[in-house]
Amino acid sequence: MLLSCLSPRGTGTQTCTPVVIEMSGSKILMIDTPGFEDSARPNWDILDDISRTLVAQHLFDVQLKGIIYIQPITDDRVTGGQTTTFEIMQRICGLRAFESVLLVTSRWSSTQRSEDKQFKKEGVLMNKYWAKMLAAGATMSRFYDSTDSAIALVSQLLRQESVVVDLQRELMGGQQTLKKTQAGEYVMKTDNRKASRSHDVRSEVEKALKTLAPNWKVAVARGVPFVVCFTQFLLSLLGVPVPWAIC
Amino acid sequence: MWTPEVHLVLVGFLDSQVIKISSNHRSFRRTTASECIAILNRQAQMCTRHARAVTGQAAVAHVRLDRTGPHRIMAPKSKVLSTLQGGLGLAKANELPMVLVMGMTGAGKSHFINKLANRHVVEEGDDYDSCTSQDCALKLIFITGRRVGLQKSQY
Repeated sequence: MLLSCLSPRGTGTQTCTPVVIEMSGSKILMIDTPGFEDSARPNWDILDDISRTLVAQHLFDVQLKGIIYIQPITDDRVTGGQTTTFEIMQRICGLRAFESVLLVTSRWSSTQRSEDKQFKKEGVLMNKYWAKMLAAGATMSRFYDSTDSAIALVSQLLRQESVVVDLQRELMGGQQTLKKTQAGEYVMKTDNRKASRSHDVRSEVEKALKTLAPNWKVAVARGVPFVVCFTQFLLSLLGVPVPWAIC
Repeated sequence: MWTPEVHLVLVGFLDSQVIKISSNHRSFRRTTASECIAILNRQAQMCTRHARAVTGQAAVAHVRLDRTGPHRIMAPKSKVLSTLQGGLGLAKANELPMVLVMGMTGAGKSHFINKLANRHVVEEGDDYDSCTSQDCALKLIFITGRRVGLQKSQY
């Protein structure tokens, strides 16, 4: 399951990591978000990262094709953490974006004994936990742990129209701060503490854009493609130092 | 308000009594979801009867509800971009699709992306053992098989 690790310890994704994938000739920007309910980072920080990414994406008119929500099929029951994560995701998307959500079960194993359990768990997810979202147009699929399967899943989303999620609508419209968004309110409740960082995500992103625009222009002039510039901008937004002049 | 447009495809076989229903729910408004399902159910019964009439053959029904308006409400745009216009290569922006991968910690999000890229591009965590040391995330960005960015981040 675990591929060779570059770092000395097994580390989860620390912040939103943009990855550019080339698939049948066209480029796709995949955002690997940090998992909610992580012992190392409060949900609030993770939501903050995701909101910056989404605001930047909307600002630049990059096409959000959808959201892949992954849940392992291996556990016997749905944990509290999984429920919280699912609830946060629902609030980020909003009802109108449910049809752009792909609910994916992962870690299917092929042993006969585990299969029965997995089917049962899948049924529970379908009929209970995910029922509302599926009825609202979300799609449920399996990830068979192969490149072909991953490509098939992403292709499903690429065929669709792009989507604007509720979190973007809330943050881009008027003076809404992250605290006041549906997802923000929910996360504040679950974290059970006051959020410390500044929350006017939109003006933060715009400020960063003004600051980084000169670097960006130099990079474009040197022939760095837009997708790379945008990726670097995302990383800068999330506090990751970026070598802008790469080419 | 927007478009509850429902396509229902129903395939019934009398002999094996296998009835497969797949529907493509374009959109459901919260208040109309139950109505839509009720319509689907009625349609499904009707189709089943029809399928019986043409034993062994597939019956396909399409249900289409009235379009009542655009179902995607756009968020307002920012003015900052227009003041910075030029030199940012923005013409390419709307050709770039983005997909967000979410899930609980340990769900296998990074693993999914590594499988998609067919190589090791993002760090994967141990199952359910979130990292406590925050100092070592190597980020690699690949484009057309060429490594264009590699940085060690200090978060």
